[in-house]
Amino acid sequence: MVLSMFRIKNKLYSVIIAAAAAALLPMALNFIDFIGFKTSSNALNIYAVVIIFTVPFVIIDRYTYRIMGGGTKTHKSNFFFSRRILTILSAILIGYNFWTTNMVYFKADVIKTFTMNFENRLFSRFEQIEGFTLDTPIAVISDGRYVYGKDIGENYDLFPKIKGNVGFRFNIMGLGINSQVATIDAKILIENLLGISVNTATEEQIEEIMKTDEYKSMGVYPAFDSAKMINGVAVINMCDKEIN
Amino acid sequence: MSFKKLIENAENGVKDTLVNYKIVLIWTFIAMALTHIYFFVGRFINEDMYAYLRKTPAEPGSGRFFYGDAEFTILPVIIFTIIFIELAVSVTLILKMFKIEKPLYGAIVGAFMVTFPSWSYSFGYIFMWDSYSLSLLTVVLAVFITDRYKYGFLPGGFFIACCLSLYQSYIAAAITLIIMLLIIELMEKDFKMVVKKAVAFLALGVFGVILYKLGIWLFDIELSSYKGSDTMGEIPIDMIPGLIKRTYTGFIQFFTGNHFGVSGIRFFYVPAFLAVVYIADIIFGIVMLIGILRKKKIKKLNIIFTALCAAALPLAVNFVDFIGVKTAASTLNTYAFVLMFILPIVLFARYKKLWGGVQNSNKLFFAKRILIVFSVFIIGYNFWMNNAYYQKAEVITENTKNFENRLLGRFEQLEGFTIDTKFAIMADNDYLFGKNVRDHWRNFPYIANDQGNYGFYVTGLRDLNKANYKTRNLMKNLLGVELNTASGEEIEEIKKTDEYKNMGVYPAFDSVKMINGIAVVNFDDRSKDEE
Repeated sequence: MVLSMFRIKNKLYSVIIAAAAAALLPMALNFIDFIGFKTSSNALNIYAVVIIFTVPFVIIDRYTYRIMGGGTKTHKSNFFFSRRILTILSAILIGYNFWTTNMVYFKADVIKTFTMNFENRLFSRFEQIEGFTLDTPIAVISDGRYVYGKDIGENYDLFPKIKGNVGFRFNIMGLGINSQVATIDAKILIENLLGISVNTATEEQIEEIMKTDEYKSMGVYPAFDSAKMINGVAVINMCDKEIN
Repeated sequence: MSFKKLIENAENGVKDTLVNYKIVLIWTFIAMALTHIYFFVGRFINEDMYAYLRKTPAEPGSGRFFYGDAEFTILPVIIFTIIFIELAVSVTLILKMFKIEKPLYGAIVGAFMVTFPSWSYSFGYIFMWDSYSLSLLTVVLAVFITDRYKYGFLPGGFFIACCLSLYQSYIAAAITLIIMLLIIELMEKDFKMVVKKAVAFLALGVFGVILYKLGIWLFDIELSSYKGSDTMGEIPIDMIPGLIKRTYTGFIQFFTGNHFGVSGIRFFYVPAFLAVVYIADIIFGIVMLIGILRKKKIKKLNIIFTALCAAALPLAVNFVDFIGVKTAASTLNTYAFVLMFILPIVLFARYKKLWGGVQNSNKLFFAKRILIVFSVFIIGYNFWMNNAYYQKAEVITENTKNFENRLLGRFEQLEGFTIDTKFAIMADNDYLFGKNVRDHWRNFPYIANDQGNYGFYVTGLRDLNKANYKTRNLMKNLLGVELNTASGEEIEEIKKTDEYKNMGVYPAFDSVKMINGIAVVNFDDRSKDEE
């Protein structure tokens, strides 16, 4: 297409500028990768790439008649196969986009279900701690390496085609990179997914809990001794202290 | 003809079809979307399918080798699109076959075809999703090509073989379409020409079966005895009268349900008022046929064979009941019955002027409206039946999910349990939680003869062999937790222990224990075995 376009008699400098612009397109489309020197671009930053798929249509629409000197039957027939090939390729790409988008939505739904069921079991453990009431503050001790919520990355066999997925790295969400985050995440998820309003322990309370012998002797969730009442706080431990 | 011309002709053919059948396709899509989109945007499981995303190979022993060993991940909403395209093509081919041109009648035919209740019963088997609609498309193509072209039975035979390798029961639709076409031909053409056409259709069937058998031989497939796959079509002569009786009885039971002196619900639930509409619709068709025969003044031989074809329709429609020597037809094998509702539409659309007399006569005026009311009624019921089934599927899925979640919660609370701990389900046929409530579930009393969701739960708790691997897969797919199962030897060792013998039955507090390092849950009420 581009080569056909250059059948037009352009001055040399126009050709050079057009070639340079075409060479700069990747830089423009993936600009975040260039400008984000601390972190590269990801799936959320690449929308501009869609423009590259529109270029062939722009060219064929704007330059068909200009190249061929008018819309005669012969000239249209020269583009018979080009237009159809372009349409088929576009339909395949759009179909693939449709599939990928819906696969991500599907995965989101599945992960939400996994998370909801996990939070349900988690809350059931809180409920079973002697002395627990809905006013009891909760604490989830975590270091982000919890096995149940394994980092599925790109290898989760239920969704092998979802690559570079920044939203759903784990098969169970909200397990937090540290205890403060895990505790707040648990509160939000229990409230939104189970409809139960709970209080959370403060950061200071969590630090005090981690110093106690009772905490140090706790097992790792889902072990039978991974849920305890310590200092009036219902604690679940997801931190494997042996690894630490 | 140049390649370019071929593409142009194909494009023009598609454009003409889309233009001529635009209204039919739009209404067919609306009917299909309203009826089935609930299922295809959800995530439901059934007794044989709890992956809800992955297409897995069908059992080769079933004779369904069309997709070979292909295994792929596919989204429900994409399958919906594919199924719609396949059904839309089937609808337009049937309309062309029977020369139905008016959009109103075409839309009714389309709505019948996409709302028939066997779809919802079938779609739960996700690994077979598009096989059903593709199988239908192949038989419609086979009959269409044979009808239209002199040697059409040759490519048609290939399509028949495809149908048999996808889902065999749609062969009944082929036979029914052929008989319907022969009825039309007998009313319009010379007997000799009809015989030629019949021979062509016979050749279609024979050639198709030969190609199918060749496929089985080529791919070295050994048909299993499951559902009588290995003996399908091998009918002992002494069984023929009994099979014919079963076939005709089943045909009647489809329309009457368990009313009018007929006992048992053979296929779908049919309330009394619907049975009346069904029978009235059939009688309407018979009255029209007789009226057309009288008006057309055709030869006696043609009349006799028309009557014979009409009498053979129940055998064609319920063909699986006849040919399935070892096992009778089920709800999944009944799609051809939809053609019985389409036949009155075909007769009316083609012959209304001949049958009704003067245009705008009272007879035509009321007949048209009665036919439309019957059709809308039945289509409305089909819509309801499909969605009632999908609602049941959703409830079963939720019940199963919550059950597996509670089970996992019990495992997690065992002393010493970790994610690497194996588990073992000790199951029994009598387990009450998953009790077989096939036709009597209080919430879904209208979902009869359900093959895919026949209990409260779909964990296969009744069968020890299946309970363990089904539970493992359900926990993985519904809860995101992947556990390992105990081996057969480990389970046998557990059964010998006193700890196991003293276990209660789930959900009792002592029904979940750690034995030999394995998390064991007991669903087997052995006190019942001793009784």
